[in-house]
Amino acid sequence: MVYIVDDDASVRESLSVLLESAGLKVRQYASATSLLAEHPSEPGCIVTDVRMPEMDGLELQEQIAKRGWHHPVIVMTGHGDVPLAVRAMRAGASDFLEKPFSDEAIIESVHRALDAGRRSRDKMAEIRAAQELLDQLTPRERHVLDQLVAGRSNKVAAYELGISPRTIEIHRARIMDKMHARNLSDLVRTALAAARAA
Amino acid sequence: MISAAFGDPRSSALFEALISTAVDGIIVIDTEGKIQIYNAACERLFGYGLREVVGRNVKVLMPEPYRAEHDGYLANYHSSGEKRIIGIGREVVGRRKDGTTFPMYLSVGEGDAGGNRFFVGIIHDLSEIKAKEKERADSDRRLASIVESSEDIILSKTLDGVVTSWNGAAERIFGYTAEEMIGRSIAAIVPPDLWNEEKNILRRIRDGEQVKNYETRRRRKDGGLVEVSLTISPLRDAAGNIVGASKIGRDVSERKKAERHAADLRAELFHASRLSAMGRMTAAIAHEVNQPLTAVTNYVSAARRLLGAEQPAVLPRTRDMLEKAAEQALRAGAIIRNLRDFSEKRDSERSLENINQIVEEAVSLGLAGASVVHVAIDVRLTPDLPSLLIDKIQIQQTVLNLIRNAVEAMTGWPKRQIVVSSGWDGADFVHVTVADTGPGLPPHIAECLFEPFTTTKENGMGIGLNICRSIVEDHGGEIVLMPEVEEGAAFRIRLPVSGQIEGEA
Repeated sequence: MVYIVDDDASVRESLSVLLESAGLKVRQYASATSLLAEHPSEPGCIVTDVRMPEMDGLELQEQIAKRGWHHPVIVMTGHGDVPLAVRAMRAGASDFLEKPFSDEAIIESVHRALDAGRRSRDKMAEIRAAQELLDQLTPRERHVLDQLVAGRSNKVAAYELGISPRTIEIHRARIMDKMHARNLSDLVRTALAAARAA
Repeated sequence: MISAAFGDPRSSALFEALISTAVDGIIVIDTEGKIQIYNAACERLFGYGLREVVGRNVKVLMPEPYRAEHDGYLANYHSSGEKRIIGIGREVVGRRKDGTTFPMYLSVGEGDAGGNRFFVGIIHDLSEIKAKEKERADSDRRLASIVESSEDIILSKTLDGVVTSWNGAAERIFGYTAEEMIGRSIAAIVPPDLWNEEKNILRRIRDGEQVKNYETRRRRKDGGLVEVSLTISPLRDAAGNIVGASKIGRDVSERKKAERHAADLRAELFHASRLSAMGRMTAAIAHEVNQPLTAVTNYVSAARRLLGAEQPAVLPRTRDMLEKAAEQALRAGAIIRNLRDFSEKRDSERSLENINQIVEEAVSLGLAGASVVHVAIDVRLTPDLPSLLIDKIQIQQTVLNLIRNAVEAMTGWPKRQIVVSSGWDGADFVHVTVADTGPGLPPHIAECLFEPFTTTKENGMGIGLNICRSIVEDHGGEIVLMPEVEEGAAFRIRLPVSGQIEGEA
């Protein structure tokens, strides 16, 4: 879904038909506040004008980041200047387009934003899944996992934790099983992903 | 004659009275120069008493060199009979008892009394007359040196325009010396195209009028022109008849040049401020024009994509999009046209204008189309307002803008009335007010009303009032939204009364 925000009705409407002609689903908003009032229920990206009454495009960008929404933001402007572009990009804009723009430019930009959104959503899903798996481990298993992630051998881990290497091996097999890991590197990757979320 | 009427004068009381009451001094000496008669007036004049001088040589009353020469005069007269002074009289110098001297007129005659020859001297004191003459001469010299050393041109001429005096400044500024000009017609320094002007001035002088600070041009000896400010006054003789004219003038070429320079600077300043107003508007213009261009691009691109699908069903949709694209292209054109209307009036030309006339013309322009939306316009002008030094077109544009804004603001509103009024604060500012009975302005708009991009209109550019403000401020005035009006909105333009701009520069 592409969420279009522009106070100019003709720009809003024409952009909608253009993106629809490229097979995209769109929703229009006349102001930043009206978009914020309605939580964008579907994944996708936001295309916003900068200069608008009440709340401008850059403030909208801040609000989206603050709310933790994962919708990449494409910023459009009728009077582009370098400082404005720098501000937008620094604030994490997916793209900065000067009006008027070609259909290829906006469609490509939207696709890139949608891909980025998808990737970021996938990553989030992965992190969330890893977190869930991690939550199934017992405290003792968490300790063993920490040793393994730190690159310690069974022997060293056994010594560190004051248990036998044999017990470590049993824990390790159970951890691999619970974490759906085929091998050690699989296990480490999932553990690190979960750690990133923490 | 005297002898015949009164007998021997020496023995008579009449003789005594004549001698003693005479205001002039009377001295009689014998052939050797010894004083025989010395009257009361002489006592006052010389400070010697009668007894002190009787019998003494008259030389005692003379300073050198007359004292030394006197014996020679007498001896010469006795031997040759040549009269140097006798019967003629002349100006000589007397010597007082205290040694000081005084100018006097001495008349000398001679007589014979029974074979004894004698000389009579009558002494008229010239001290006062001489002092007055000296005073007058000093004063004349002082005046002459003031006139001569003056930086201003000072000259005089007869009523026929013949120059009678010509000072140093006149020599320097016009290049003619006093010798060259005195006795010659003033026309020599008047450019031929201004001869009539000179004639008019002389006519006014003949009528006893003074011509003050008259700015004109004069021609130098080398043919160059000089800008002068002249004050010409009638010159009267002792009887009060006008006999000529005095002319005091100043070379104002430099001042004029400075004034022109200041005017140029001011024009440049206005130009710069207009450019900066344009600069401020550039962002607005770009934004406003790019909006419809974006829409056009989007519609056309979408239409092309749909046509690429080659399905007959898409035709109505693509037609719709192309129509909308054309509409938006026209919108962009309209914006550019609006801007051009403003930018074409770049060259500001100011002249003294009657603001009421400008308002009336703006009202008639603003009314175009107003009757269609049934708006009533009430014009309340205050008569006899001072004239303003303004750019008529720009101010008219501003008033017109306010009227059109008012008309648009009331579209679809139940009460639609506009009051346009003019007035004067009695001092420095004249004002024009445009009030409407529309919905008024929301506070967040009122706050930044004159900033670019501020608009309440569906398709407004939000720069009209910004331009109005630039224009009014260029004129040294201001534009305000009147606070606390009962209904609608009221805008007031205040413009400085002519002369204010000069003072400001």
